[in-house]
Amino acid sequence: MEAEAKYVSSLFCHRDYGADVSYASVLASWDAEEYGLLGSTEWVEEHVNWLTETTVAYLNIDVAVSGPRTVLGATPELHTIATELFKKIVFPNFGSFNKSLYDAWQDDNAGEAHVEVLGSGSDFTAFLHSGISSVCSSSACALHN
Amino acid sequence: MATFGDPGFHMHAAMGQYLALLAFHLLDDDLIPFDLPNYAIELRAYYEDLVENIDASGEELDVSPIASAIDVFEKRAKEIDAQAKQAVSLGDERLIKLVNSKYRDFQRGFVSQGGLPNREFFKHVVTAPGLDTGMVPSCL
Repeated sequence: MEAEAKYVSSLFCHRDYGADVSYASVLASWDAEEYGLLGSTEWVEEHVNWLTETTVAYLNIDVAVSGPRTVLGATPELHTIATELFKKIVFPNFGSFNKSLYDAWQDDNAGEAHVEVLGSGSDFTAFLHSGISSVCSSSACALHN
Repeated sequence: MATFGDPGFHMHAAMGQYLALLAFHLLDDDLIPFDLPNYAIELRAYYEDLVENIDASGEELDVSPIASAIDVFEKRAKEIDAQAKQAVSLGDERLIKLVNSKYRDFQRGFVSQGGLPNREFFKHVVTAPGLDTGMVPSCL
């Protein structure tokens, strides 16, 4: 969460952009995910009219500090951009900076990694079922031994 | 945390960079970077899985109306995609704005107001957790 906030602010507060982006963004951290997505669901229900009138997309990260293997899920209209940008971030790779998150993702899945279909089990659920384009990401699981 | 999982929070930072870049493009690109023809491709794949499941079950069920709906969807998705590309190549701000508002509201059309049968919380008509699969999705 802290890392996301830091990078979002560093991109958006760059002097060339400032408050000049076309849309507003909201950064949120949810309570009670494991208890039944309570925090995010309550928030979506509270603000559903505003959200369905204005929202372009919802980006989710769940299991954010757990390991080097990534999982990516999204509604299909976001597959292309989500995959393309995955190629632009350097995979930390324990100090060897020669591959992208996309490369590492493919390596972990024998070259057959694909953007998954969203089911439930994370805080995008209330957004998705209110008709909001969603992405769900995580960096989970230890490497195979 | 210093030894296991994500020592140094390096992966966490990389995912932070990724989501920030994704948010940046969604917020700042002239045209919202949606790929609607890909939605048609995915719908077609879900449909094929559905037909396979029906065949495997030995039941008779006519799902051809879904196939025709996907045909219509595919045609319309290609149209809006062509319109989007034209708007960008011409630098037509009004057309870009029109396409953006359609893209923004695109997903709203998949929401069933009454929700899915016997579980009204889930409203998306294309994807929801399966009836007996826990959190794993089931389509169409």
